[in-house]
Amino acid sequence: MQNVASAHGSIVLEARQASKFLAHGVGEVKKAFVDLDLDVHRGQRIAIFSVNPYEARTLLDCLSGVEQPDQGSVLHHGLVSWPLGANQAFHKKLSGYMNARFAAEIYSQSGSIEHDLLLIQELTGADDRTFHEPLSSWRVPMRKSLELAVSLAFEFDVTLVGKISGWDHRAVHPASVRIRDLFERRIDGRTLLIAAPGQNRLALDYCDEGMVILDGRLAYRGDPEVCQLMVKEETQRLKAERRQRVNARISRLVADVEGDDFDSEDPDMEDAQESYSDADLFPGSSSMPFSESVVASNRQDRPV
Amino acid sequence: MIRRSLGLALSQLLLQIRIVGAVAQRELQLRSAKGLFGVAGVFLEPLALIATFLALRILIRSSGEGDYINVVLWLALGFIPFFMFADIAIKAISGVQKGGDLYFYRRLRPLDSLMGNALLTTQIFGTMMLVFVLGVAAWEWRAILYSPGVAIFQFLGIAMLGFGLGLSTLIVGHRLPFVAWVIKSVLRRILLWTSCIFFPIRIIPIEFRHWILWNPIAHGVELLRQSFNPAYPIPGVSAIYFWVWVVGSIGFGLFIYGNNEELLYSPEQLAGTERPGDEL
Repeated sequence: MQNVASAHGSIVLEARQASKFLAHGVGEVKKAFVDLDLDVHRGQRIAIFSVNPYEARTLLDCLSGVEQPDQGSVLHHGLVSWPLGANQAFHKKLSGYMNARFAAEIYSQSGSIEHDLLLIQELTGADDRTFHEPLSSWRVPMRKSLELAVSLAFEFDVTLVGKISGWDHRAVHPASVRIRDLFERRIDGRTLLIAAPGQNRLALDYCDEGMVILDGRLAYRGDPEVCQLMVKEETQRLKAERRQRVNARISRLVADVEGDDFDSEDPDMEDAQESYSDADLFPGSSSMPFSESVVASNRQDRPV
Repeated sequence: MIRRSLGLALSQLLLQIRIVGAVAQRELQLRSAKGLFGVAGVFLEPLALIATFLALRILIRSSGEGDYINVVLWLALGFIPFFMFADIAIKAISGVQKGGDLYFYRRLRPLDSLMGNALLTTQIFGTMMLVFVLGVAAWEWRAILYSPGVAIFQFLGIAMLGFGLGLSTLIVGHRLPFVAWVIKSVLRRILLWTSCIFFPIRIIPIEFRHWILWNPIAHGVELLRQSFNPAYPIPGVSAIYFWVWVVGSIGFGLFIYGNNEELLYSPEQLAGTERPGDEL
């Protein structure tokens, strides 16, 4: 990750040949994104859509700098926020005030630390006593509020939004409205990137552009409504494929077991049973072999 | 134009100072929250260690070196700077992984975290030094510090030497983990016996003295003692040698840090994700 001083026109964030892989079981990896080239210009508002939520969120983590890409590079040409809605730097043994103060010391404008801390306390809804207690004694919703409040207290050139829980931007509750107002002030005239999975409404309401990550590749960049449709269709297609595979597998197993009942001594059937490989039926799955469990349970049920 | 650049540089410098201060404060809060005695425990723990060493040394060798400086102060002037140096260096070598969650805030860089830790350690040991100096001054009821400026300067020099060596070892150790392991082992064991903590440099026979005088900490410790009494003899000790080490280690550390900062962030490569040309 590099911070490069302007002289890059209006580009505030760029990814060059960036790839990220995630560990998935023993010795297996799944790709979040591969060879991604991306330019984000000042003032753009982009929603990132993907079938698997981890693809969009991992991309956002890498663009924010919280994670490093395994290959390629991500360049910042301005102050980029961490993904709003989470905060891994909070320490449970420290009070809300101490955690907030630490963030304020790093990100507040000179001379406005106390003001920012008051704003954070107000948005969190914590009284003075609670605010000075260790985070471990806080209720989870209030801790989430603090994470969101700390994210919104400072100004960034690029605001990234991960999964926000505990705040509905369309709600009319005064606290939600207060957060919405502040959120809109923070993104006014600035760049915004939102991970859409799980919060499509937020993404569609605030973004005028979308991009779709399918199978680790940038499949489309354009209208966010189209992106949403693409993801929906892809999800349905994958579901149908999975259902087909499972049905085919079950019917083969049923046929197997029936054939086994008639001719349990037939060695060819045993060979056939073994030939059903899990990889064939559940590609990419590392779960317990389904065929064996069904056959085993059938065998147990069978009268001796 | 120049005015604007100066203003920008100044604001960056102030931000840097604020961030380093915030890291030091957070580290103090964390240590206080984890320990039994809160903030007092943070200071009491190293004080107890040094008091134990002092007691042992006085019991074993009685009050040997009391000719020029009070023996307790003389020993404290060896132990405190040395333990500060070792703490700063060791924390710098292993401190980046420990503070990993802090880098969630991208404005904070590994160097800030290392500097924050070094600042806190210097504050803790500086406070202890003050306690000993004031305690001995009260005991003897006279001013025992001849040149406070030199003493502060030397004390900070030893802290900076620890930071410079730790920073250099951190980066080199990332490429060659064996080096980090060796230096960590050497720091507390060999240097403890060659830094003029238990003996003054003047009692070392001339033919062996140069074996001790390669060690810059020995120079720093003896110069620090001399700042309390100008009559304290320090044959062969050189302030220039000491400060060349301080400036050299920090300069080298910052130079290789600047060229290898990415190394400290890089994730471990997952098996099976190498590109065809990666292994070449």
